[in-house]
Amino acid sequence: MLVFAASDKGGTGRSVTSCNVAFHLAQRHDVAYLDFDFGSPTAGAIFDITRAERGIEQEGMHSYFTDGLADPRRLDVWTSTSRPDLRGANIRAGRLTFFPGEIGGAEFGMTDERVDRCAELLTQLDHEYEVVLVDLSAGRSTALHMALAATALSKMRSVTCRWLVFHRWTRQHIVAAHGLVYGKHGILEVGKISGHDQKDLQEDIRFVRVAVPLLKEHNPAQSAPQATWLLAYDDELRKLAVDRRLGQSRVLGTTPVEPILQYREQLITESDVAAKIANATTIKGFRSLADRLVDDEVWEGA
Amino acid sequence: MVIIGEVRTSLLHTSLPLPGAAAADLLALRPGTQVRATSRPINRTLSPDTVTGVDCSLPSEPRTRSRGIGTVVTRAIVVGGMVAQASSRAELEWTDYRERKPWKYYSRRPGVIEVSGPVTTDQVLAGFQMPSRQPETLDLGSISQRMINHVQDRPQLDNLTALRTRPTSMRWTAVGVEDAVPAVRLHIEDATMRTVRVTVPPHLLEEAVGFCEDLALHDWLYTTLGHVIAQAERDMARDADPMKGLRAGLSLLVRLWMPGAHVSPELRPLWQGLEAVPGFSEPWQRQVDWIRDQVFMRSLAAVEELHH
Amino acid sequence: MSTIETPVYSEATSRPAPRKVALSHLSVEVGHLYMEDLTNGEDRIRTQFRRVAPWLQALRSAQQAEVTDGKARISTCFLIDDYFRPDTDPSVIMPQLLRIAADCGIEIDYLAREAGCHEADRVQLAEITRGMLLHEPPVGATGSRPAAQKSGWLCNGERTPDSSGGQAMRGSTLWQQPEEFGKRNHSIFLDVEMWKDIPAKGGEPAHRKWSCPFLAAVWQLIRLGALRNNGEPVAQPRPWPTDSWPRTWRELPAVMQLSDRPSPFSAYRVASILPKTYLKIEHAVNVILDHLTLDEAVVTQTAERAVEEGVELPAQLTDRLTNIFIEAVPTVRRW
Ligand SMILES: Nc1ncnc2c1ncn2[C@@H]1O[C@H](COP(=O)(O)OP(=O)(O)OP(=O)(O)O)[C@@H](O)[C@H]1O
Ligand SMILES: [Mg+2]
Repeated sequence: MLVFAASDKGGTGRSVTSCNVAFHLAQRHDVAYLDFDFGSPTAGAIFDITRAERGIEQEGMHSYFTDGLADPRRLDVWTSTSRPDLRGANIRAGRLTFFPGEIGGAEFGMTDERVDRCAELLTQLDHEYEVVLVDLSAGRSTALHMALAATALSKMRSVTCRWLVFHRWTRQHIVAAHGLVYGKHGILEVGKISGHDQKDLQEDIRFVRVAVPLLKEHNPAQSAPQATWLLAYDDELRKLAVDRRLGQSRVLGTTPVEPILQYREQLITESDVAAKIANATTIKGFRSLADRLVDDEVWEGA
Repeated sequence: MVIIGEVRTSLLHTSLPLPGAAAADLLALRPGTQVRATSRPINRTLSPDTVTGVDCSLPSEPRTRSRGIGTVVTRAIVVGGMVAQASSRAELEWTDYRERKPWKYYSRRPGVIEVSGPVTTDQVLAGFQMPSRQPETLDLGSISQRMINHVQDRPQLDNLTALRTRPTSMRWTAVGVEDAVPAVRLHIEDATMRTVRVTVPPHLLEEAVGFCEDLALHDWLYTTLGHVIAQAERDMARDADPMKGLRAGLSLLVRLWMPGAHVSPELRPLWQGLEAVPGFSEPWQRQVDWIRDQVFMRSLAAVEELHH
Repeated sequence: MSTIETPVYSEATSRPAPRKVALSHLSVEVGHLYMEDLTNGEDRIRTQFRRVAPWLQALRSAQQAEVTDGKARISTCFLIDDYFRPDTDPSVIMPQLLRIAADCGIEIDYLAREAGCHEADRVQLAEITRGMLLHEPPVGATGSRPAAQKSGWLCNGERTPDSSGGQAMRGSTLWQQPEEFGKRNHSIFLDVEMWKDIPAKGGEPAHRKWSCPFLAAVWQLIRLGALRNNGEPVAQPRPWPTDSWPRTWRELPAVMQLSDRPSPFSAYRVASILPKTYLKIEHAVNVILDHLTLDEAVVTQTAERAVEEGVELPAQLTDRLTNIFIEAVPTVRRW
């Protein structure tokens, strides 16, 4: 299964959430994580792979597309991470393989040849990994366009593809996420031009709400009018989301605000929760996203 | 006389094994040149060779200056209509002449790389056996990988798979030594990388290519069945159904096990050595038995449940 | 190689030895004319054949001097440009062409069609030749990356690096000159278009249009007896009566034998006597031929026969080619 992670805005939490989802899926499957954020390849930092924090020197995803490299570099997360609690945490875990971009790598143009290469890589990995997660760049990027074009090729028809659109729980983010999917030059429009069936493609898209504040929690610092306003506005956002076709039935899941992540981009593990540094609800959010991502029932008709 | 090579082995992107004629069609990569096939005891189809030009240094240990100019030949192989291999190789020939000759000289010698510089045969052999390839040196793996990708991308395949598997790489060297008794050394580097060293009398050097391809195939089968079992145990540990993977493993892989079947009779003794240490067919059979037992017991349990 | 052959078991699908073709000592191509020249009166044709005749004589004596025992086997041939201009009429062109050649003392043993270098007897000769291409690697080519190729093009060196389509903000690089591989001090860089892929348009399906130099390279391969289709000889000459020509070229075989009992069409060595205008095409042909991987079994067979016959044969194909360029007849202005 191929999973594409997109967002209209940068800094949404696309990478951090995707990495955590990949981490949970890898507890039971072989999972590949591809850094297609060509303008700023930084997913290595989230896995705490020191030597690939901002990508690797050479033979990364960029060279695969621009130089015709046959074998892009793979890093096994379990053995390359510098976090001791990830190594050997689960003796039965599947593989988690990270395909890094290159340090100083930049966006490049889309060509027919690159679309073909993209399809070739994705097919190859789909035959190797249960789940292949692709972190696309923010906005209407080459990566997104290339992924849409590659998955529309007839030879990729038989491959299951799922698209995740990440957004924060604010007015602007909801409007922007709507635009990325339904708007001009959005996923559906470009997908259709690329050869996708628009209805099928739409059914393969789900939204992920990132860092949503938990209002029901008792917050002693909050004044009563503040609490009332927040509740009311939250309700308004809900209506807006439904209105913009980002409603509950199209949502794959939600992650709560996690203080650790406000300071540091990283994986949240059981040991973080056990040490009471991270919230249990955060890990629950990621795990639920992972479960629902591979649950076919969730994806039957939105 | 030295031949170096690298074989990449992977499951063909097809839901059902390709019949012999379809495999031949798949590997008809060069118009006007026939595909070769043997059908007994199991179908094995060979594409015509493709040729790639190179001019670069060779891997060496300790690192020593060298320049290799010439060509690498690559062929694709399909075994049992189910497994795809790409096999690249080149014979190394030492020369005193340092300059590059006109290209037509090399294009007429497919599969020969002329080596100049202070590097020795042993240094190149050691360099080629290193776990990771030295950057900016001869890269047979990528040449093979491109061939695999090309074959997997052909329209003859339905692009479906019943089993997710990892490809493996086998880097090998074969040395021709007068009066040598054929000998082989297999080294498992990590999950996907293997190195092999073969010594044979010079007249059997060409046959060593086929032996290494056969060894790569069986090593891949063995490794892959191991993953099928690991995934099943992972599923069982969290109460998920392991049957799909187990069944696919049984039906797709087991019948392909035939070490030495496609190897020149003179080199079959090499297999006997490997069967003794580390052992191939016996542990393979035990894994197969384990899977069959699981499938049997689970089917039985399912039937019993139906009756209650 | 790894097909199993033991006393008790052998496979029928293993590759048989390629079939041999008869070989002359020398094949001479006696001139070449554009379709425009063939359809524009007699003068231009006559002028060219008159200029070709003495060189043909010279080649004959030169070859005879090489053959110590007996008579040298020499055949002549002429190639018609029907691939790019199929719209002309053989029954008009051929009688006139053969008459003028005979007037000038030139007997054309074999007539070939350029379209036959694309496809002969349903065998795709140009495609087979394309499959034999072997691009020359630049210094430092490890095999990690595919040879930088422009589809349909072949060059004798390294092109100017392509600066478009790369990664953003990489800074503009200064222009670099192309460079000929194995140059002597200075480069003579040649980039040859071998074919063009024409997309489907207005009812016509997508197809590949081969270039003149590429078809000319196939032509030389056929003349040298170096092409096979699954081991079988290709474009073998068929006798054709010189007094009966159809209205279209397509109805003719790829290679026709016109004279009575000539020496074989293919030869150890080939020579072409051509107007100087073909210099660049022949240069391109040489570049193409130098970048082919030949069927080694065929090459070996030819070499062995040469040894048996006492013919000294250069190892490289292009060393068996001789070109004689004669003064060109001024062409009809086409602009
Ligand atoms: N649930 C969360 N709670 C709090 N902060 C979060 C949460 N999820 C992500 N973040 C933080 O948000 C910031 C942006 O996240 P991330 O880098 O994943 O975004 P992105 O969408 O991938 O951005 P870019 O477009 O720049 O790649 C990071 O500092 C991350 O730690
Ligand atoms: Mg990111």
